[in-house]
Amino acid sequence: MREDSEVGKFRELFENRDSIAAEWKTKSGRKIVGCISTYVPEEIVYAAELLPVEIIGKPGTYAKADAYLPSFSCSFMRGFLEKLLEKEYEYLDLVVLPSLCDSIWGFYSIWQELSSDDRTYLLHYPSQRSKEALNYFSEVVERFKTFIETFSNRDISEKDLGAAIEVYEKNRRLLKSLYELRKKESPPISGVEALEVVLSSMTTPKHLHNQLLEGLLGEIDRRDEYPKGSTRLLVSGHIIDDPDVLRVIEDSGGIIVADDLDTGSRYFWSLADGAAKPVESISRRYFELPSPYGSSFEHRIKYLMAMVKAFGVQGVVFPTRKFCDPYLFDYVALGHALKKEGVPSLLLEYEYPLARGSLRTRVEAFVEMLR
Amino acid sequence: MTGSTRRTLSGAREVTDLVVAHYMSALQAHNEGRHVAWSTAVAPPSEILYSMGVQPLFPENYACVSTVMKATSNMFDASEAHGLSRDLCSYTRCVMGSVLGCDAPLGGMEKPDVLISTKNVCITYLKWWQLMADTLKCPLYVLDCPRITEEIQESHVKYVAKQLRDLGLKLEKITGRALDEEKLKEAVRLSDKAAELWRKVFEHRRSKPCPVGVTDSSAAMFPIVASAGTTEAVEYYERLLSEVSERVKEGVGVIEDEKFRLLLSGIPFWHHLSLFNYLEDKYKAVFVHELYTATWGIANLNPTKPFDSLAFKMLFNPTNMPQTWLEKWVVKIVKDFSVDGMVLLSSRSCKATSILNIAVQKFLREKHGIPSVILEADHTDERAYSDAQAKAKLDIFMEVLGAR
Repeated sequence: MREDSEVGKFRELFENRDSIAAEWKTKSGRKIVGCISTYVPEEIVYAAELLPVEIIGKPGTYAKADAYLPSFSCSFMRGFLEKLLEKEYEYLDLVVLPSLCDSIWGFYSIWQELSSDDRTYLLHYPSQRSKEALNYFSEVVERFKTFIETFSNRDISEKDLGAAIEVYEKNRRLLKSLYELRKKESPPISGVEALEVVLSSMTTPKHLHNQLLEGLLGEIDRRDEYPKGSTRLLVSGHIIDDPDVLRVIEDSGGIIVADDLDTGSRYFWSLADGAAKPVESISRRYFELPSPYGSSFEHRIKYLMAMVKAFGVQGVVFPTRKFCDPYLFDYVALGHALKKEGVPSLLLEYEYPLARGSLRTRVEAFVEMLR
Repeated sequence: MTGSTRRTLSGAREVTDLVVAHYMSALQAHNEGRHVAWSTAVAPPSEILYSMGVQPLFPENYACVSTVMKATSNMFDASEAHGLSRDLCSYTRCVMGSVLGCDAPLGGMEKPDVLISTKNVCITYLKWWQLMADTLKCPLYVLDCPRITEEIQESHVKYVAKQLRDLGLKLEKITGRALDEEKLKEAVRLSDKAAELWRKVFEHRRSKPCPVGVTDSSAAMFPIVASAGTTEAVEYYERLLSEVSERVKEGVGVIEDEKFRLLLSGIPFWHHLSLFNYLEDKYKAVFVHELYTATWGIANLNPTKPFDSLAFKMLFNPTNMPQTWLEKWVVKIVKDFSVDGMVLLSSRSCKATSILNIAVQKFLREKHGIPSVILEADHTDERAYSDAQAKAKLDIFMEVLGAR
């Protein structure tokens, strides 16, 4: 199946991200920056010719991390700390974390003390949406740019940044085109596959990802076998760094046709406004993302409902890590708003190791109800 | 902050009446045509509110009062039925129960005209207040506070101060009253005075025997949280300080034959304050300092620069400061107050005050030789607490301390 191998490339990219990154580093002699891609202005990192990659929490045991973080901090930060302590992330020269939540702040405080060199940067992410907060955030982004310039030993000109923005905007537009195909009655790509495409975008040099995406878009329609499942679902929530979480959902008879995920549409749906000053343009884009970290509920609901309508969604699933406070809170507001609109929803709390059986049963019951 | 736990100071016993008066004052404010604001409790801008005749109430405090009154269970049920996960902040789940309309102590909190929040402690502050704004259809003002990774810089202060000025303008619109900068300066002066007196009370706790214990200070912290910026708070701490000074002069301690001096971190398990008395009775162990209750007294304010001072106060709280600062602070307290060991309370639903406990315990032991014990439960939700387990863990810890 020639066509399927195109989609398969993205899975390979994601699954082999560590060795690919290490190889890139050896070949280029340049530095790699781990970050939470959706909230860190990666364009600046890219413009300095560094490689920004999404950090991934390792699902499984947390033997080493347990010596520092309690079981009630989120498993994403615990998993990431475990990987660092297990020396599985030696290729990261810097970790940039946005100040989103208490687990990130806790992790940051601990890692500051543990890491021998100064390789963690906390980027302030505003908790409200006033003009004042936007101005301050622009200053924060400007300071981050200066920091990256020093770190990479390379000046970032407006032209460099403009070029980086162009590459990123192209990636966003291509990802949107791919998502558009999922509006069809029979979507050519599954939710798991779409997630792998987005995750690989976060861990692969963008220009390379753009080439692969163009290839995929040229072929995906001619795929031999379309994904199964007829009940149209949307998944809403945080970083899903493990395709298995969505696999459990799609194994239960539904097909995920859209999302409102940090590792999904939130990463690329909104485009930069093309303002004259690149830093301002970038700042505004990140500032205005509909997220639990400072947007109003109305903003998030509006975005979610627009997705539900545009993609003909029958039901919404909130796959939510245990102890992820911001998203557990937002579920309350979003769940009630959906109910008002007549859209059924399901909160699917999960933790590692994944309790596949019971998760699957819950989604199956939900999907049956939607039929 | 009320309840059956043993309080040794008359200043601490007095608080029960102050709590009731505080909640009544909101009712009175509405009767007088003044406004009520619900604010987050760690370094709130109460000085601005009081100077404008707005009565602040603090949902966190209300949760703690409800817990001591053993009135939380139906409130938790209502919140959880509404969709709040049981892993979310138990203060939130308690107050949201009342907001959603179930029976609550003191007839529930007087409804707010404005909500004021910030993320200077936790993301929960932001989300909880958004949820209340949504449910109560009440305007919400969020102050964006940057986390401090090294030191508080002028840019941080300037940014928060500007937002505080903006809050003043918003309140002018809501209340129809002008913000009088002279009145604000006076409120900041009073707040600074109260904080200074509170610090002096703490200083006396260096004495042996220690004149103030944790059950006293957990009650006596109420005015500095709820009434910072008022003459009542200053008068209260003047009375408290004179009572404590008298004790020191006479060599009176919380327990006379004091054997162990402990430091507490975290929010007290309000449903079982008696746990502290257990340590006093069985081991002659007294808490000579608490990071939590001390939080409200650590910032110096400059009344001539009211907005900058209040901004600084919001930024400068232990949960917003880097772990390096926290570690230094703890080590200094241990030295200054002749602390034998530390008790770290971990609340499963409060990451802000608990997430560093395991790391702090390790760093304190390995780098400074300070022994500590972690108790894991929940500050408000009694269902997550086992008295037998907590006591068993303390027994082991006290045995180890005794052997040192």
